[in-house]
Formats: sequence, C-alpha cells, structure tokens
Amino acid sequence: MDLLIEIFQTSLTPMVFLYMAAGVLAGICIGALPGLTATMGVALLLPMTFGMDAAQGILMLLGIYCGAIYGGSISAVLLHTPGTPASAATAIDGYALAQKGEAGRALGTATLASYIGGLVSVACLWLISPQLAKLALQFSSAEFFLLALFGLCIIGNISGQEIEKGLICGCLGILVATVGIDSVTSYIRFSPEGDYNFMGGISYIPIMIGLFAMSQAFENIEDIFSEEEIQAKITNILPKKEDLKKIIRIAPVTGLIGTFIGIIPGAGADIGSFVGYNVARSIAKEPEKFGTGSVEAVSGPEGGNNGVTGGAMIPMLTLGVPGDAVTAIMIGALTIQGLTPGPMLFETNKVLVYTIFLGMFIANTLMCIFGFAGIRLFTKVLSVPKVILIPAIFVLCIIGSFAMKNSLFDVWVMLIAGIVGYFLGKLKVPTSPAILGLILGPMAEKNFRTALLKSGGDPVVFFQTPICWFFLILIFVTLFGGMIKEFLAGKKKAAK
Amino acid sequence: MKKGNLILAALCAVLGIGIIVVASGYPSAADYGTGVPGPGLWPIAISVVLLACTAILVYRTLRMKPEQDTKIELWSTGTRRVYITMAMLVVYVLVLEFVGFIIATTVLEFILIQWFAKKNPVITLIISAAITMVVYAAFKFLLNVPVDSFGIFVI
Amino acid sequence: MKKLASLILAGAMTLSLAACSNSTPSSSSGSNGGSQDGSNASAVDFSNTSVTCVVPYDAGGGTDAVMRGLADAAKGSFKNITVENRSGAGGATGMLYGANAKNDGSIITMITVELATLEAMGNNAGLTYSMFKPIMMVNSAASAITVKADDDRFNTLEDFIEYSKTNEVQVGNSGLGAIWHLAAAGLAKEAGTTFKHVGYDGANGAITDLLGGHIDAVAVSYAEVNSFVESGDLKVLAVMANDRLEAIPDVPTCIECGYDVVLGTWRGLGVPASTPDEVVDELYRIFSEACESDEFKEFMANTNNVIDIMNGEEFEAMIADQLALYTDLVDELGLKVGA
Repeated sequence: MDLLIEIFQTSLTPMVFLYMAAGVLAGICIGALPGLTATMGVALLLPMTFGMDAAQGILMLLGIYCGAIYGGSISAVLLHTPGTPASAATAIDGYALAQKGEAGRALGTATLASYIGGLVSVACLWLISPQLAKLALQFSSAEFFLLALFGLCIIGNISGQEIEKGLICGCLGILVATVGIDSVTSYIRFSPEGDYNFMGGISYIPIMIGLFAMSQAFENIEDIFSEEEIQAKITNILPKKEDLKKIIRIAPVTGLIGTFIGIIPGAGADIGSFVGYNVARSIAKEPEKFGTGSVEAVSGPEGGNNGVTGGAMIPMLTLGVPGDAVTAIMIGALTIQGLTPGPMLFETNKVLVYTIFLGMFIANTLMCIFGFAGIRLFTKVLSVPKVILIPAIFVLCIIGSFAMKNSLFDVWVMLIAGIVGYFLGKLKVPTSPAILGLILGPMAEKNFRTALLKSGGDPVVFFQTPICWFFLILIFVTLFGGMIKEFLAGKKKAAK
Repeated sequence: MKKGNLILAALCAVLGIGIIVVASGYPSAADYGTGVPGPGLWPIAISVVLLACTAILVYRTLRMKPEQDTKIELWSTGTRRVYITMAMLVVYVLVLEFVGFIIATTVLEFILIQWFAKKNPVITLIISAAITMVVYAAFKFLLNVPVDSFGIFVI
Repeated sequence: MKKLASLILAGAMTLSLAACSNSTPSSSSGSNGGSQDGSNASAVDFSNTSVTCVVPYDAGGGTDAVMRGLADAAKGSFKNITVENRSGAGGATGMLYGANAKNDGSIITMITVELATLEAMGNNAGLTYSMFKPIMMVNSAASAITVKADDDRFNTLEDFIEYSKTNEVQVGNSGLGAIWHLAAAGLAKEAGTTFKHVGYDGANGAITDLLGGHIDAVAVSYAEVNSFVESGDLKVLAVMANDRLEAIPDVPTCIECGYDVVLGTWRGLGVPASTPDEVVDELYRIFSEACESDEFKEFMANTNNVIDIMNGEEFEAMIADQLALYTDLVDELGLKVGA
C-alpha cells in the first residue's frame, strides 16, 4: 500500500498520464496505417524519450505498443487491410462482419477482446512474472522449431473448405521466405547474382499489404460504378449481451495463451493472433461460422495479440531478455536512461517496476476508452465514397510498403503480391496461410538446422525435453483432432 | 473454376519442380561437415509438400461435379477495369522514381477519381491534391519517412 | 598526399591478402589526427543544409543507437539532421545506398565492420570499402568471451581453451560470417583449437541461449552482456582488445593470456568516395566536436559503448587492414562453401 502511494506521488503524475494518452493515440494511428508496425512506431518515437525521465519514457512507449497492436485491427476490420501483421487473423472474420454492415459490432468486439487480452497479460505480469520468466530460458532451437511447426499446422484451420488450396498458399509463402542469404550457412538462394535486394530476402510486410489490401482494392474496382454503399450500423457499439458472453468465453483464454507466446523470446504478436484464432475455433460454440463473420473469430486473435504485450514484458523486466522486437527496443530505451533491465531492477528500482505494471494496466484502459470513443469516427471511413477511398488506399499501400525500409523494391514486391492476390482470390484461394508461412517458415527452418548443428546431426534433440513433447502433442491434436472427434462421434452413434 | 484450378496446379507444379532442380545443385550437408542439412533441404521439402497438395487439387478438381463448378469471369467490363488500373499502378511506380512523389501521386489520383466518379475536374483536382498532401505530410513530418528520396524532382 | 599514399597502401594491401595474416587493427589511437586548421573549414558551411544519416540496420539496435546519439549531439551544426534506417542483406543494402548517394556530404552513412566482413564472405553484392571516403571512426567494441557465471569448468581463458581441445564447446554468435563468429574463429585459430560455432539472428538470441544453458559461451561485445555480468548470471573470461576495458578492469585481454588476437566491431561515418575533401574535413570537424560533447559522452556511457575516435586516414587504412585479415580468416576456415 505504501508502495502504491509512493508510485502515485513520484512517478504516476498527471504529466505521465498525458504522455501515456499521447502514446496510445499515436500507437492507434501508427497501427492503423498499413506498413507501420508496432516495432516501427516504438523505434520512431524512441528518440523523443531521451529527454524524459525513465517512467515517462517507458510508459509512453508502452502506450504506443498497446495502441499499435490494437490499431492494426481497425483497418483490418474496415478495409481488409491489417495495419500490422498481428491483425492478419482479425481481417478474416472482421472484414466479413463489416461486409454485412456490422463494422461497429466487429470493432466493438475487437476493442473489448483486446482489452481483456491485455488485462489478462498484465495480471500475469504482475502476479507471476518471476516464475514465468524461467520458462523463457527453457526455449532453445528444438523447442522453437516445434513451436513454428505447430504454428504452420494452423494453416489447415484457416483455410476454409478447400484445405489443399490453403496449404498450397502456405507453401508458396514459405518458399518466398527462403529467397536470399541463408542464415545458417550464408549461402545465397534463388537470387540473381549480386542483387542486394534479393540477397537481403523478401520481407513479409509488403507481401501482406499486397495480398490483403491491394487485392481487395482491385476487387472493389470491378463494381466501382454500382451505387450500393455498405451502410455501417453504428448503433450498437457496445457489444450486446449475447456477443458479450462469447467474448468473455474466448478472450481471456486466448489472452492467456498470447501471454505465454509473448514470454517466449522471438515469438511476437503476429504468432499470438494466429494461435488465438486457432484456439478460439476449437473452443467456440459455433466453429462452423468461422470465416463467414463470427464474433468469436474476432475475439480470438484480438485477445491473443494483446495478450502478447504483457507477456513480452515479462522476460524483459525479470531477465533483461526481450520477449519480442518491441521489448528489445524498450531495453534500449531503459539503458539509455542508465537503467539495466533484469533481476537487479526489481531490487534497485522497485518503484519503477511497479509503475510499469500499473502503467501497463492504465495503457490498456486508455486503449479501451479511446477505442470505444473512436468507433463512430473510425467507421466514418466507410462512408467515404468508394471512388475516392480506393485510389487513396492505393497510395497508402504504396507508401506504407516503402516506409518500412525506404526501399522501392518493397513497393514492387507489394504490387506483384497484390496482382497475384487478386487472381488467387478469383480461384478462392485463402491468402492468410501465405502470411503464416512467411513468418513461421524461416523460424522453422533456421531452428531445425541450428538444433541439428548443436546436436551434431542427431534428431533425438527434438524429443528430449518436456516442452518438445508438449508441442509434439499439440501438433498431433491440431492435425488429427478433428478426425479423432469424428471417429469418437461415429462410435457413439454406432453404440446407440 | 475447373480451368482456373488446373492452371494454378500447373503453375505450382512448374514452380515446385523448378525449385527442386535448382536447390539440388546447392551444397549438401557433407560439404559443411557439421551435421547440418544444407541450404537446399528445406526448399526441396516444402516443394514436395507443394507438389503433393497440387496433386490433391488436380484430383479433386477432376472429380468435381459440374454443378459445383462456378464460372470465373476474367474478361468482363469489371475485370478489364482492374487490369487497366494494375497497368496504371505499374506505370506510376516506374515514374515515381523520376517525377517525385507529389506530382506522380496527384496525377494518379486525379486520373483514377475522375475516371470512377466523373465529377467536375476542378473538384477532382482538389480532392486528389488534398489526399496527396495529407499522405505526404503525415509520412514526411510525423513519421520521418523520406518521401522525397523517391525522385529527383522532389518539389 | 598523405591520403593518396594511404589509398595506394590500402590498394596494395587488398591485393596481397595472404601477406598480412598477423596484422591486428589499431583500435585505440585516441588522438585526433590533426589534419584540420580551421582556415579551409570555413569554405564549406553546413548550417543551412539538411543532412541525412543512413543506418544500415534496424531502428532500435546498437548501431542505430550510436548514430541517433551522435546526430542528437551534432544537430546544432546543421539546418536539420535526420537518421534513416535502410536495413537488409546484413548491412549491404544501406551501405550500398550510402555509397551511391550524392557526393555533397548531405548523405552520411554509418559504416561498420561489416564493410570488411561482407566482402570477405563474398556476400557484399559489389560493396567495397573504397566506395567510401571515411570521415572518422566513432566507436569500437572488442569481443568478450563470456560464459555462465556458475560454470565451474571455465574460470580462466586458459581453462576454456584447454577444455575445447579435448571436448566440444559451442560458442554462440550473432550470425554466420558476422563479426562475432569471425572473432571466435580467430581466437580458435590463434590458440590452435576448434569451437563449434552456433549462429543466431543477432546477439540477443545467442545470449538468451547461453543464459538457458543451451550453449557453452558467446563471443559478443561486452556492451551486449554487461547487464548479465552485473547481475551475476554471466562472467567474462577475456576480451579481445588491446587494453583492459574500463568497466571490467579485472578481466584480462587475450594478449595478456598469450593469444595475440584483437578483434571486434567498429562503427564510423563515411561519405561517397567522390566527395570533395573540404566537405569531408568540415564534417570531420563537426562530428569530432559532437563526440567531445558531454551529452554524447554520457549517452555512450549509459549505453555501455566505448568512444573510440580515429581520423579518416587512419580509419581507411584500418579498414583495408581488417579486410585483409578477415578474407584470410574466411579462407582458412573454409566458410565460403559452394560460392
């Protein structure tokens, strides 16, 4: 209690609230713009914190982080344009809902689910972070490989009816990711001699922008002269009772899973959201509605990706090991202030640590308030006439893909991905598996080979630890769970 | 749909076989002597999965009942409009490097909006200039993205 | 004339790679070369120019932090100074961009040790150090052989080397062919032993794996392991520097232990090779002033970076030296397979 008073007296001043509010708002805007990720947002605004004290700076960055992860879903729902990779899974059902004229409902669900996911992760951060942190160090190459493999198995569940088409798309994504310098042997694969653009590899953000936003815009051009505008029903911003029940059933669970994924170093919000989607599907009351605009399918990934935020802070604060790319930058922000994250921080700077815990809670609350307050404003985007909106989306896609590395090469990648995505859409090939393949393919390959390097080529390394077996079982259940369920159901019927 | 699926399958088959051929030429595990699979193994493994999925797709497509087959319209007024837009965007990105962001974008927006909306050209010009300036300012000043370095005539 | 001589020297060195395998980088000159005398510096004025500093790595990393700190300290001398990240291909993308930029000094590139290692590995995509005219070196960091603090097998570097001769030790680095890999390999070569090198994407992954006990050691810079050494999780056996580090005065250098290796990363500023000398001189004046500022010194101390100034000529000669060294090392270790 004394600590709480001290926190409010020393570090949580009204000024800090202001910085945090500014951070959350900036984060939401950055997240909503395609191509600008949470990592970029935090890195871009990092120099601003040089002049602040430690609490102000880190809490502003926290605000940006939470805001950006949430903000990506706004454009994912409204325009089928995931603002950050963490919202790619939200785009599937969120946009389907918006198409039915229920954009307000989808955004309300996303906001509440994000908040719940964030809260669950803050609770974990506050209560059991030292215990959980040790888990982060248990992960080595073999465990990472199995985690990535498990993630890739999710492709089957986000592919809809024709699973083989989803798998084809996922394979294409993995193959595109192999272009460039191989990180294990530094051999250059599938690139023209001496071309540094290809050598550096093809990054997935321009591809994501192309596959989702660009191809969607192309599709909209087909019937641009038809006058029917989707009228967004913005009457029901706050989720109705039945939706509330669904969200409360799903979001805390995926939030908790997101937290665990956040703890694992190197696994971030993008993986958290896809795993969240998958988990939501398996615990949902109406899994058959997934893909056609289901509230459950929106709350799954949203709880998952915001759960990652608190999870990623756990190893950062307790061990000094970043849980994902954003927290890696935050470590930098703290060291610039002369502070060293890690076990010592809890002893030497207890007030700051608890300020961060409390600040994280406040940042999530601010995100929720701004989110609900802004829904009416956000949905206004849909009332912009399509004839103006679509050309504007083209420009945003182009500059968004340029912004990441300031490279025109990425713009071409985006454009080609958009054109390919348009034709894939015609063939009813789902495109989100490609994103999953691009993110997880390199992770799987690299860790598979590094694990074998460490073991001297002995594959036993993949079966040695309890974590390995945990993932092996998860993979088995994901692949054959449906079949087992059917088989058991069939048996029951036969018994009757 | 049937034809489309088969074309997709053919493309994937060519790609998969191509990758296997290229990647088999890469150094093998023995060359490194560390027990690690060489750079070719992973692309080959994924290509095999790709080819297997392609085979399933072909099988299911050929067995598809005629009533499940939906027609894909690839040469209607709507799709032709999409192809023209694609071509325009390609030209836009090509020109971007030489003309600079502001001019190229204003022109692109003007053409597209005028074509779609058929409004008063003056209004269209104002709208397209406004979009360009908002995007330019947001990225250049707020986000510090060097939009200028697109072209020589940067104005 | 001096510059020309060093250029010729540098050229000669690249040609005769095999000749200088024992050369070590002189990484602690400290003095400011003194090629300035203020009179010709006034010919070029940057106070009305906007300059862009290109960082060939992602925002938020170590190189980025040093550049942003330096840009912040030098901002008074320019109309505007911005830092731009152009990452990719292990740094080649950004450095190639900077090397082919306008030669009026408005685009300054952060050049790093990868300028030498990428070429040595053959992953340079045409990038070579002679495309740059180096302005100055700003910072350097030696490799620190670090193990777990509770690892009783290794208490000195000698233990470590002896152990590695009969057993397999796994040494983590920030990526195959990256500087920390070459540093560890250089030590192994000098000591007549072998390590098993395990590459990660960046030093962080290697350190995390060491903390979890999945590998035996890492060979990254002290700045990167500093917090874990202070918390008592890790310990440094030796550093590959010329002199002991101020932060850890009890840890010996490799030279003291009898292994003549001085390897590590360095960062500096460069402009395209065709940039006029007076522009380079003025930039040198501005940035060396910025390096002297208390603001920058405090920033570097907080981020555990060592300020290590070297003027353009010395810097260029050192880069040439390093290229020869690494080319040799890569050849000898057989790192270039199938290329």
